[in-house]
Amino acid sequence: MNSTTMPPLEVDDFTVTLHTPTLSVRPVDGVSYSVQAGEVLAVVGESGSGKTILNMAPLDLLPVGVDAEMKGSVRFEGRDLLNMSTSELEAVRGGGIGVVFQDPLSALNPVRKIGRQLTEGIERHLGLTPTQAENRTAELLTLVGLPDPKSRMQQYPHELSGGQRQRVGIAMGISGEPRVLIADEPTTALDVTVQAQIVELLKDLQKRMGMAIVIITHDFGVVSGLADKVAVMYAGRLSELGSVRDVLIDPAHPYTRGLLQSVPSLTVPMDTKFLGLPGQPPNMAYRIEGCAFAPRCIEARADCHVNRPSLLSVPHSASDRLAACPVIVNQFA
Amino acid sequence: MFRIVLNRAISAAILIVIASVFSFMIIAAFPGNVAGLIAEMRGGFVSQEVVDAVAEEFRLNDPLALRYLHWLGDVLQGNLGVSLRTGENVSTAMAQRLEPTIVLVLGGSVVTLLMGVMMGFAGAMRPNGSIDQLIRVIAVFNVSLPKFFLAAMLIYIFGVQLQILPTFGFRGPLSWILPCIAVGAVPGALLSRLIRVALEEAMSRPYVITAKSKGFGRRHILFQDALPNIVPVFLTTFGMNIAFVTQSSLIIEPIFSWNGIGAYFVEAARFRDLPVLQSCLLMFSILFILVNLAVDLIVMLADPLQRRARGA
Ligand SMILES: Nc1ncnc2c1ncn2[C@@H]1O[C@H](COP(=O)(O)OP(=O)(O)OP(=O)(O)O)[C@@H](O)[C@H]1O
Ligand SMILES: [Mg+2]
Repeated sequence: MNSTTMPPLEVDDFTVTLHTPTLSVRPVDGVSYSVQAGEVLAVVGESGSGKTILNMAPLDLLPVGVDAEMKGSVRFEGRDLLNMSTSELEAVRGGGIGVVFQDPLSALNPVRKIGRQLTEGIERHLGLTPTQAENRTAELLTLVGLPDPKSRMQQYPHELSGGQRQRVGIAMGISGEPRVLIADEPTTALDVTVQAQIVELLKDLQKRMGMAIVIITHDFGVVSGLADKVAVMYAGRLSELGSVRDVLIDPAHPYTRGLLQSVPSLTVPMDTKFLGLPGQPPNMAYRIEGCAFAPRCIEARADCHVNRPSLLSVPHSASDRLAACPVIVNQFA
Repeated sequence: MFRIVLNRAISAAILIVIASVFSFMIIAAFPGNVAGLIAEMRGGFVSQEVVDAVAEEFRLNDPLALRYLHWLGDVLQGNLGVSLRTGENVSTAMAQRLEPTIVLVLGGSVVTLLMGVMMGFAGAMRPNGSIDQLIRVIAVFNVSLPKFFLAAMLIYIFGVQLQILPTFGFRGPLSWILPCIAVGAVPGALLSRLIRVALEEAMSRPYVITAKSKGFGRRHILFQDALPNIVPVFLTTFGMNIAFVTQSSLIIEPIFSWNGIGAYFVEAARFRDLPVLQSCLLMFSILFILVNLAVDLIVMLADPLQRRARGA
């Protein structure tokens, strides 16, 4: 396989166990998917379902003090991130893989000028001189829709609005010209009109730069507006994976159905409370036998509580689509 | 911005006035018969007439407020009175003794700074690594050590055993080394702990994860991202340490036989030389207040967040 056909990101049977002094939890449990070049994958799921850990743990970007044990593989352009040395991983971070964070206020250093926070990464990854990096930064800021970049670069984060800060955050994420951009809820901290602008910006950048994007979101508006594929997570596991068309219009997994029913309209941002779903997600500190969603599922059979369902291909879908629910997949057939 | 500076300057001025009242009270509120005491110290035959003359000379019978204003007027004209013991003019004596104390305070501050920064960063590079552990032991050892004991150890090691550094008198830069270390070691150890803890706290902030996401390693993040964030804490503590260092001059100057203001103060206290005591107290208080003011203003100018928060 050569690098033009190899998917830039391949996640294979990836499992994360977090160890704290008192207990261990498994927020990511046997997850597999891949993202093609230029493809946008949205990862959705309730709060606490493991979306952030899934994407940040392989890059070693979890908060300090979180001890993550990882199994399986997460390959970036064929190389397993989990086996990389610290310096190899540092070369990938900000270079091949860019990251955009949820809260642009806390993600930016409050006492450093914006220009410097951008140029340092550009100098590091693109091998530019300080002057070239400054010019490149000015271009980037213009690209993400911040006019008058030279004076912006002299400002501190608190001197910008929330939307402007997130534009800076996005400029930072793409500054190393990454092939994969990981964006963890980039619009959640912003108000609704600004959210739409940021989605437009990401869409535009994705087209221009042709990079793959993995976007974590609670917002089905973002999913339908930006993504090609959706991965639905529940309790650390993938419950459904397929094209946006298939999953949003004709969801297969009972969890996805519940999730979509709880959204009044596809364009309205969804709250983290899922009104349409009775019950609570399981506690991931305990080993879950059978299907993690079974206790809340209206379709559940006795078997569901015992055997863990694997991802099965859903028949009659517009494109490849997988769902971890044998009951429904049999109904589709 | 200007208004904030003005506010801080005004409160410093108020503090200085309060300090002057306390210094003044040393004589005013001294227990027992002050006039008799002063007359005794001057020697000779102490008759009631002599005591009355002293009371007259020091205005001991005037109302307190009037005495304070008189004294303040003298101080503002640079007249700090006359030493009871030696008859020297206190202002002149203090001016002569200023140099060793300035050297000690500046040198001690440099030692504090070097020790604090080097040990603090070395520890933060690898938290709980062997260097960090060693530095922690040194710091605890240092802090729990009485200052005079540290000074005695330094004298013993470098002066008596190795015989490489002078331990007596204020005689050129070589003789400055041991006293400055003796004065700066404890605040240096404290500062290193503070820097270490503040860096650790800064390294747990989300912006550190962002810096990591740009591909930077611990060393770069420590200096580029964490350091600018601990500057205000660092400056504030460093300013406080200058105050500690100043205060240590009381103990360290006599040990190394330096004729500084600290030694002058101690001597005055021993002989109950009230005008000297009063003047030293006033000088130290003013120094304290001015250093604090300077640090506050520098912190404000150095911290972009404060600049905004205070409406600059
Ligand atoms: N710092 C931590 N210490 C211990 N456990 C944690 C920590 N962070 C996350 N977890 C565990 O991992 C699980 C998944 O967390 P994660 O942050 O990936 O959820 P998420 O899907 O991103 O949620 P959200 O939508 O709220 O961001 C949590 O339910 C929790 O049990
Ligand atoms: Mg999250």
